[in-house]
Amino acid sequence: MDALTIGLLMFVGMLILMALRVPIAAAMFVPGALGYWAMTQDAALLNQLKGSAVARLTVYDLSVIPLFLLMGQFATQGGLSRALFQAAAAFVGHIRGGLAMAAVLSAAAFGAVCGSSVATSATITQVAYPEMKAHGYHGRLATATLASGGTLGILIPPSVPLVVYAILTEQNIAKLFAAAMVPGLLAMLGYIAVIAVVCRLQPELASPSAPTPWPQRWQALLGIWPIVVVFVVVFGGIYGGLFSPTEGAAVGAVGTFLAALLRRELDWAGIRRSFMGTAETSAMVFMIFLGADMMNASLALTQMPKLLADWMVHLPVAPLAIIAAIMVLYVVLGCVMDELSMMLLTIPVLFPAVMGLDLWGLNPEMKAIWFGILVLMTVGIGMTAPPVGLNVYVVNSVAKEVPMAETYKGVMPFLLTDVARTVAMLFFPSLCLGLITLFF
Amino acid sequence: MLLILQRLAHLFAWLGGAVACGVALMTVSSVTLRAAITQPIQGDVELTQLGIALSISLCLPWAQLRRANIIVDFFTQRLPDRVNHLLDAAGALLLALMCALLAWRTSVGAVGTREAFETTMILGLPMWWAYASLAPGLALTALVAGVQAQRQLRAAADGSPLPAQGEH
Amino acid sequence: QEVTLKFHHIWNTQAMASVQVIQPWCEKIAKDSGGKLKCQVLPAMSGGGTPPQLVDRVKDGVDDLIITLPGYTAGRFPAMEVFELPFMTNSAEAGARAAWDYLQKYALKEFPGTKVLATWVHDEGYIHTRDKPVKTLADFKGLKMRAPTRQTNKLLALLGASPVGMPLPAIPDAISKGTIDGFVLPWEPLPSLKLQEMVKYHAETDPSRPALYSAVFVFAMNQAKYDSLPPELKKVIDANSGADYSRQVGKVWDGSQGAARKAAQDRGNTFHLVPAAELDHWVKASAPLYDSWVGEVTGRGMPGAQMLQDARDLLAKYRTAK
Ligand code: NA
Ligand code: NA
Repeated sequence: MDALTIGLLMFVGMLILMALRVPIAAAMFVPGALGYWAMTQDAALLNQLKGSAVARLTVYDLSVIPLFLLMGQFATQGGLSRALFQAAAAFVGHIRGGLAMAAVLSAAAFGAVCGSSVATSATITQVAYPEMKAHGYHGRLATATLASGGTLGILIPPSVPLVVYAILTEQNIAKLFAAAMVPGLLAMLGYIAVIAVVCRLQPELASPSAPTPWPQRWQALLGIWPIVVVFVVVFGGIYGGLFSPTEGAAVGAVGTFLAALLRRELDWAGIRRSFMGTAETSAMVFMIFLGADMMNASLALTQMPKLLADWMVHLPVAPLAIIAAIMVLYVVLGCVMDELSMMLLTIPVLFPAVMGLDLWGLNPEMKAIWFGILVLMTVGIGMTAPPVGLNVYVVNSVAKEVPMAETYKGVMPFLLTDVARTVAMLFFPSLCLGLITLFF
Repeated sequence: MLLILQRLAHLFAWLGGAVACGVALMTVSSVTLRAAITQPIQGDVELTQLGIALSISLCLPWAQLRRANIIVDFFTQRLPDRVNHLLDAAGALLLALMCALLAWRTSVGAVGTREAFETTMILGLPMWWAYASLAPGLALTALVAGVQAQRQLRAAADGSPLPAQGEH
Repeated sequence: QEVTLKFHHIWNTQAMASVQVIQPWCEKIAKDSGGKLKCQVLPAMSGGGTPPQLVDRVKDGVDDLIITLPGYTAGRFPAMEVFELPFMTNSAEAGARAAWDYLQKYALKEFPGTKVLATWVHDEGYIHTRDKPVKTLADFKGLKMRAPTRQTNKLLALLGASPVGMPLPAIPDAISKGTIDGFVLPWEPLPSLKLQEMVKYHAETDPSRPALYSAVFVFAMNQAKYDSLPPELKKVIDANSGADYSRQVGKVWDGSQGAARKAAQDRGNTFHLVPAAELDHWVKASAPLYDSWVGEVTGRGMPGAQMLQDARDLLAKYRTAK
């Protein structure tokens, strides 16, 4: 059997296992391992596995995930999230979908300090989901908002996928971050618009409350000062150069713990629940990573993503059509693959070819940055698109009573704005490149 | 059997949370020292990497016990509970296999790294600790999933209803 | 029959090592073998695992060919680490020749199951800072500096800086926000991370003194894979490895300085050449590192002092031969 056939069988096997209630992690691991075994001799598979757990669990960039989860749990168990959403409800609760919009705004604020969409959706979901539920929001709208809002973790800088892109293509990460600024804000506005429209069309999804009088609004605002302090410390610390984003996660966790203690709401039972909640979600995420790693190592051997990419860039069509085709390829691959590995396996082939195309007359650096933002957009889509949408899994692991199919249904209108934004970037590179010419 | 595993998984998750808290405190101290006297804690990055890896591995059994490892139930919703039990048994078995394989191979990796005298870069901590520390969590996860598979088979035979996520 | 070798390495496809070393080597063995030897290149660790795990992967036959830095796995290659001590090498070429000879004499047993095809060091490492230039020993005081190896971490601490640990890809973000004040690196990797756009000052050291630091590279093949090749293909590998090949790669690294340095010049960055007289203070300050290396190696049953002397002699020999 040739490598391509094996690769195809691996994909099919994975999808079948997933459909048959096999945990996602094992559904990736088992076909991946079998494929690897079929393609190599001797004990290569067993030796590959000697290092894979250590390799994935010690990645410094991913260390933020359990730390931010812990922070979210402390905030929830310590009553900070409730205070935050009471304040939000006081100001925007009378607007249809107001709390969902507030959740998007908090995801955006959180995205400004956290570079991972998984950590962002997990943290924001822990904080916001119980509150949205308490305020009578429909599970579909609540989970879809949080899954899509979570992508702001990578769409708004800092952003781990952009760092990976910068390394693979030798670009300036500061310029890439600047370029992601406007698209990130557009994403946020797009999500808020979706909530407004969806709530107008289906009023039963969110029930607005009566407007809160201004004195009570100010009082509610007073209750959230500890959160504001923690956020200012983390945000200021990262942007002021006191600590790195990974260190910021630790500062955030400790700060939130102290703030929760200060409110005298975090008791032993609360700490226990925080630990157990963190354990469940972070283990679930890393278990999927462990499965995806096996799949990716095998896919690298099949060279399938590489060959696909190679075929794509040699299509006899206009340069812009090739870029569009690449975006489609990424959306498709992103449906069944982990996004970072997808970049790792295709960018090395695609990038040099893209650089050879004439695109809007851009110079090489601008072209590279623009393409990076387009890739980022599709990575964001991949995080919520079925069937393998890591963000959706994360949100559903916290919001257990909402069926995953409901979340996917709710995510669709959000995905529409993602696609629209990506197309806009394709035709108007200045949307992302404008800030660079301004800053650098 | 499950009760012992349950207690162990709970204990592991506690330890996992404590280790993550330890890492957070260590990092905050390092950041503070760096800002105050330009002298961070030596090897703070290494400690974070090793600590978080250990913490996650300790959390794995609890997540499996609570059935927190994500499954797609969309396509099998209409099937009888008995079939779903059988599918869950197969799923838990495959996950058990994956974790057992990883636990075994990671232990073998620990032996090799120990024989090679590999250490971390800054603190010179033995690298085999990192490998060895991950094995217990992975192994316990395999055990938990194995016992769950067996219980699902029994449930399929009894025809009992499906448990929700978060139930053993 | 045709043999495909899985070539796993750490660099992306545009990196100097990919373009000027790995690709040409693969083309060469394909040509020399009449198309019977082929590489399947897995760049940027896409085959899985971490850079420190490459040495085990090639030993175990997960990968057939790898290039890695023994320094990633501290403690595992104590003998080769001698070339990572401060103020040893003068050029990558001379370093490569010395490292190859030294490897044959002292370090082959550190690579069981592995056939080392070449070894070399990178060109001189320098100091790059963001807000203030480093001219004298006193300037290190209070600087938060990222160091690439175990020895450079110790060196920076001895010079008065506070070493900050972080992976290479984290440098751009950390330096642009000021989380670190600077880092030590040779010229070559700067443009690939666009670091010349994020620092202003570069301190180079007087060429009459050895390099502030360097790091060792190893290009290796799985021994069993090599043994399984028919004699004519073994010959192809032999012809494209060894002392001469190591020297050739060293030259590639020496040649990499120009373009990277020019990129920094074009930005209008400030350059400073630390004079020999000042460097002598630095050498003196770093003296404890040699003793501690000799002590460590001797403790593991090797003639540490002799090895250090041999490494120095070899470096001197190839330096004069240049
Ligand atoms: Na972000
Ligand atoms: Na996806």
